[in-house]
Amino acid sequence: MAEIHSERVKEKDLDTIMGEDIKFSGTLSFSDPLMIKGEIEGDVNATGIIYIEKDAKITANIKASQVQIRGQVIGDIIATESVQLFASAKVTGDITAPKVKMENGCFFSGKCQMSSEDSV
Amino acid sequence: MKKDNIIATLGLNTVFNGNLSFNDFLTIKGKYIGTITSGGTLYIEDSALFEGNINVKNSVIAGQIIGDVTAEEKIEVLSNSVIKGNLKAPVIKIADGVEIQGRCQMIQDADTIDIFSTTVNQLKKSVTII
Repeated sequence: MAEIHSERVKEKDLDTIMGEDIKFSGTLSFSDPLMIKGEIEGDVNATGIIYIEKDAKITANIKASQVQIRGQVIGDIIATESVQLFASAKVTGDITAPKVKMENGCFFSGKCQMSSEDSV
Repeated sequence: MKKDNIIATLGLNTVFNGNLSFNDFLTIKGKYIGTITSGGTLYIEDSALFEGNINVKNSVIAGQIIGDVTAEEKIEVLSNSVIKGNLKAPVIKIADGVEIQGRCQMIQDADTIDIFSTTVNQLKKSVTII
């Protein structure tokens, strides 16, 4: 199986980085790319790209344009463009997106629905 | 204070609604509604709008705050910031051109330098230059 060769995003280019020591509970919305390394509980409602890093723990329903997961997610994910699960990703919940990539070694438990780009 | 070691930033186009806690440093540039509790340093940039209560160790404020700010060590309010709420800390530094509507309370603390009993040189060392 071909591995996903996607370039790692540079932290310098990101406007919002939520560090390892951050614990947040509540609703989060944003339009620029965002990286999460800490813990989040609640809802993520965004029109931008979300990067969920290796040590991150998300207990939330995520809505975004693109979702890249290297950490742990419990909740449903709805993306208008794509969802990528890397080898270290652990996802429990349903994924709805027009494009879904899963790397060898990732954990995914839930339904996966490939929607057409217009319907999301 | 050095800003190089900041690892967490909440950017301009973000809206947070809820409770947040952190240990080291956090910079807020966007909108935040809720509470922040931390043993670290919180920077509120001039583009930020904060509604809620802040309870941290150190706080540097340049934006707009509606709510109370409590710091264990120090609150620095930079020019052009607007605060509608109470400030509470052992050391409070307020720059020119700041709008504050609320009470300002200096907590008595054994670690705090008493300005009436220290020499001018010691006082100069204790002041942070922005």
